[in-house]
Amino acid sequence: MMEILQVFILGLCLGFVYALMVSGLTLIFGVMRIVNLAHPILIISGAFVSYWLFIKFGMDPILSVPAAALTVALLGVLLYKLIFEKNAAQQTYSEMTVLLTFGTAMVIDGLLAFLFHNTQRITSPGYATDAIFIGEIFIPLAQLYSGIVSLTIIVVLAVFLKYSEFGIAIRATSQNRTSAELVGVNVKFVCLVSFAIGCALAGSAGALVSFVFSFFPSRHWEWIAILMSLVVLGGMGSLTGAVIGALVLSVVSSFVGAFYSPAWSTMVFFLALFLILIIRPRGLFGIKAD
Amino acid sequence: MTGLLSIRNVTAGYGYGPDIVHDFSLSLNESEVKCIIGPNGAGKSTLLKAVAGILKPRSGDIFFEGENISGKEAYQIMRLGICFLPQERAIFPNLTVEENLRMCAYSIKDKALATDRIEAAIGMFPVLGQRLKQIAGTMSGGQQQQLVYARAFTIKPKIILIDEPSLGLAPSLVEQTFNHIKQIAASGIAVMLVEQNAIKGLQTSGYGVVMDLGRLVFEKPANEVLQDQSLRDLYLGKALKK
Amino acid sequence: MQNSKKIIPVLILIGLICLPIVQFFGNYNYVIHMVLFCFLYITMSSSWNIIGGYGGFISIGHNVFFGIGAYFSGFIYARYGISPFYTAVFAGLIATVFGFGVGFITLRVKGPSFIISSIALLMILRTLFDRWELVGGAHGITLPHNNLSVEWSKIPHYYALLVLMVLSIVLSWYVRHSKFGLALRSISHDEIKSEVTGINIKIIKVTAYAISAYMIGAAGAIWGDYLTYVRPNIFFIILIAANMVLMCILGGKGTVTGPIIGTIVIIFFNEFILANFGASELNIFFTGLLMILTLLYFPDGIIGSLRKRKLLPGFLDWD
Repeated sequence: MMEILQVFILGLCLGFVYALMVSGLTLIFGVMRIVNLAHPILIISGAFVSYWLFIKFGMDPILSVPAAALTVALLGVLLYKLIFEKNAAQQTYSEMTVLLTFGTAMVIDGLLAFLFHNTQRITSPGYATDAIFIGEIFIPLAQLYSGIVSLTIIVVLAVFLKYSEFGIAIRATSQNRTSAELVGVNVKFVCLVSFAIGCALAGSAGALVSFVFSFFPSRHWEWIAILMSLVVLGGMGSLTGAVIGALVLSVVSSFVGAFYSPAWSTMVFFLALFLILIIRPRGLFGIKAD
Repeated sequence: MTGLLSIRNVTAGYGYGPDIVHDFSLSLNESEVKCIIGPNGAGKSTLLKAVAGILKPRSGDIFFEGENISGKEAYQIMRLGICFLPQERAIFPNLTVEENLRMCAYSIKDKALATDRIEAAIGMFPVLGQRLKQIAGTMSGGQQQQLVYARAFTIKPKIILIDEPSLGLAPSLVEQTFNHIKQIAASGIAVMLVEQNAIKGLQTSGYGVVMDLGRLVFEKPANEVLQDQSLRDLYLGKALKK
Repeated sequence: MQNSKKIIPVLILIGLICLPIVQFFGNYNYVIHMVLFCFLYITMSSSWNIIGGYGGFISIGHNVFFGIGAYFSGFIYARYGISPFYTAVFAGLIATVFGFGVGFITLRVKGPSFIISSIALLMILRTLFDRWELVGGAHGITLPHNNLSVEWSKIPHYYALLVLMVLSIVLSWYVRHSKFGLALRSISHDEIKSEVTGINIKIIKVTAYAISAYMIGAAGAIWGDYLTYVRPNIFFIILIAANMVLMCILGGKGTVTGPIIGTIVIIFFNEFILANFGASELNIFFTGLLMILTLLYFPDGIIGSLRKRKLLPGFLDWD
């Protein structure tokens, strides 16, 4: 029983991290219908920022979240202006944009690999090897802290989107872009800011991931598949759906890893994707099917 | 031609397609209500979109209160005081009614004023006031329609452009809709509407503007258009003769 | 005009058939390798074009069929000694059957969901084959070398891939000019409007997807033998799919000759990068950069752009 609870809690902590990873992706898709395949490599870029700050200045990765978020957000704005702005003009999804993000992912991958090489890295703050005991349950601090911080950021994001003026404008724009424009929303600006926020979320996820997973530039391919599966599962553009999907699948994945075989734990995400495609292509909370 | 809105020799079309509106000129003064009628494909909606900024005119100018607005972004034109209700009713289906109203008031910088306006709109449409927390998309067609028109009372623009208000509505709602339009006009807002239901449209308006093949055919006081038998035959009932 | 259209490709074909003669004059293995590498990718990108170009369904995990074909024939060769040159036909068939099954599920959705499912599919198979003991897991299958001398060892693969390439091009041409292809292309523009004309869009989509798998699977079988090993981290990597897509787009997706031209350009571009910069990480960088530039400034591809400017030479216009 204790073991089950432990696996559950660990899965949940990891789930919040995955949820944070997927939140930026979902936001960008919701507002601009851009499937950003470069999102995971941006997460890894954030991880590298934290890594560099850790190596150079001994900065705790959690404290580096703002720096990583800001760096990746700026990088995102640059990419948006250079590559995506023209295509984001229409709200409709286009294959071309997806391929653009694919190309962007390869460019950043190549660049990072060239600069840092494909060796595995991980930041190791003091608590990375510690754990706490709640009764008989053993929870590594790394997972615990990253889970809590991720949860916090997600809650802040949700509150922002639900209650703030600009947050409602973002949600309105993702539902009906023309209507938003007709009530005076500067839609181009909203798109740009949403993209920046999405990238900031990626960067912060990267900072947290940096001490939970070992990372290297090519790792983003694996995460593309996982995160994208979550987006489809949750229902393309639904933040609630993506977060719930992330939590559920992460817990399931933890159980599979603990009681069956660690190698199969990531398969859970892909198989869930195919299951959803068979049963309910709109996703769990589908707003739009495509 | 001067006045509140002055459309001068505007030519417009979609994408790389042909010109839909050709060299069109029209003006709209304060408190006027003009109804544009004409056959399908005449370019009526296209004209409204060009004024609203959804489309950029290919040539010609549009003056609003003396300022040339052609080429401006839709949100800028809106903020200047021109409100557009397009054919696809523009509510936010997944936001609550209250959030929808807040979005209507988005452009009002003075928060107190915004709140007053929203209250006033709810006053006009008590049904909305009862459903503030309801997701807008789950309301009935008629209730969503009220939400659309609540926008006019929230924003209180100088001009409101309405594209086919009766389109797709059950007959009972058509009456309600045109009452809303009359209320809007009564509150001092200038109205330019495009309407397939020519008779109803003209009955609600001061002027009738006939448009065909993208051009202005004529403009006359609405009751003249309604009463003149030959005009009725030509434009409201029988086929066009070339 | 009409004649040059037929003569030039025939001349090129004859030239390619005769090319290995150079091996009598010296060891031109590098040239033979480059040419058959082109054959491979022309086969793959022309096939991808069927579902990706004509159909409009962008699959960035399409090399799953490459791997399946390679593993099928490789396994049989390692176990039972039957050469992939005999089993390639069946490898393609296996890939097609797999394509039918998968396509049935994934082609229910359009656009972004489909693309995502194609990546997930690749990841699933990669993970599966990495752990499948029967086929060697991450170490894969090692195949015997053929007994030919150094100058001639590549030649069987050369001709096999030449045949596959010609067949793929013919298949692509056929799809382009057939009623099937017309239905497919109308689906890519507007599914609903296509459906109301009475076409069974499901069957057509899935068939196109499955057809596109055949040549890729057969090519995988031959390629496995050429490399003499079949491993997940060779056959199931996303860079292969990325190249397939890029070659098609750069050349001009939805055209018959587009993938051919695009493939040749990319392969020479890659060689150039390799020669001057060496590092493989930059390979990914430049592939991605090229993809971005192509999509932003060259969306019709080479063939499409030439055609728009009315500069397309007759022998390249097979649409």
